[in-house]
Amino acid sequence: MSKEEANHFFQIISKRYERGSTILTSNLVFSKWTQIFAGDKVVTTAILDRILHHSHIINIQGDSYRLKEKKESGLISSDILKSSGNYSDKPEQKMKKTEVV
Amino acid sequence: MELNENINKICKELKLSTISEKYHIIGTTAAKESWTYAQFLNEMLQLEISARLSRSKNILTKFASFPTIKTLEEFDYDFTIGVNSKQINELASLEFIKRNENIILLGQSGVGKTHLAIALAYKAVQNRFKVKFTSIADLLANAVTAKR
Repeated sequence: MSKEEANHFFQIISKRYERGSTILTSNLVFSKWTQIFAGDKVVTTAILDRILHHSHIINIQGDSYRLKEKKESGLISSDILKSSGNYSDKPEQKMKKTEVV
Repeated sequence: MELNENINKICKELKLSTISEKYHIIGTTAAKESWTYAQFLNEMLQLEISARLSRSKNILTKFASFPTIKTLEEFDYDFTIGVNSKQINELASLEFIKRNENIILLGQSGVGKTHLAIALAYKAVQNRFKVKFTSIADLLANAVTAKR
C-alpha cells in the first residue's frame, strides 16, 4: 500500500468514526499494522486509535478449516498445520472490511 | 372497469404494486369469507408491506456484495479457540451498530474471520441495515478513483 493509499484509508476510517460500524478482519496483529500502511507510524497510530476506541476485538485461534479437510484426506503433512500462533510474521496485506452505513 | 383502471392508476402513483396486483383475488376471498372492510384493508396493506420488505432485503443483499452468504448457525465453535458463542450472540443482537461500534476479527488464515464478518453483516442486512463487503484493495482502488 502506498502512503497515499494509507492516507485514503485513514480518511475513510476517520469519517466513519462514531458514525457507522465497521467490521474488519486481518491476519496481522496490531503491532504489525505499520507494515500494511506503508511503514507510516503516524497514520497507523491514527487509524488504530479510531478503530479501536469503540470496538469488540475477537482473536481467533485454531487450524485452518480449509487445510483441515486436506489433512484429513492425507494430502498435506500435519506439521504445516501446527498452529504456531505467530501468524503476524507474514506481512500479507490482506484485510477485509465490512461497513455498516 | 373504470373503477379498476382508477385503482391501478392510483396504485401506480403511490407505488403500491402488490395491492394493484392482488386486490382482485383478495377481494374475491374477502367476499367469500365475508370479511369486514377493515379486515380487507388490513390484508391488502400487510401484503404490500411484506412484499416491500422482502424486496428491500434483496436489494440490500445485492448491494452488500458478499462473496458468499455465511450464517452464524453454520459457524463451528468447537473448531476454534478464542470465539465464544455468547459473545457472538451478543453481537448478533446488532446493538453494536446502534452504538456505532466496530468489530475486529484477528487470526491466521482459515480460522473463520471472514465467515463471522459475513454472518454478522448478513444478519444486519436481514434487519435492513445497509452493508457493504469489500477487501481493502478494492476499497482503496475505489477511493483513488473517487478522488480523481
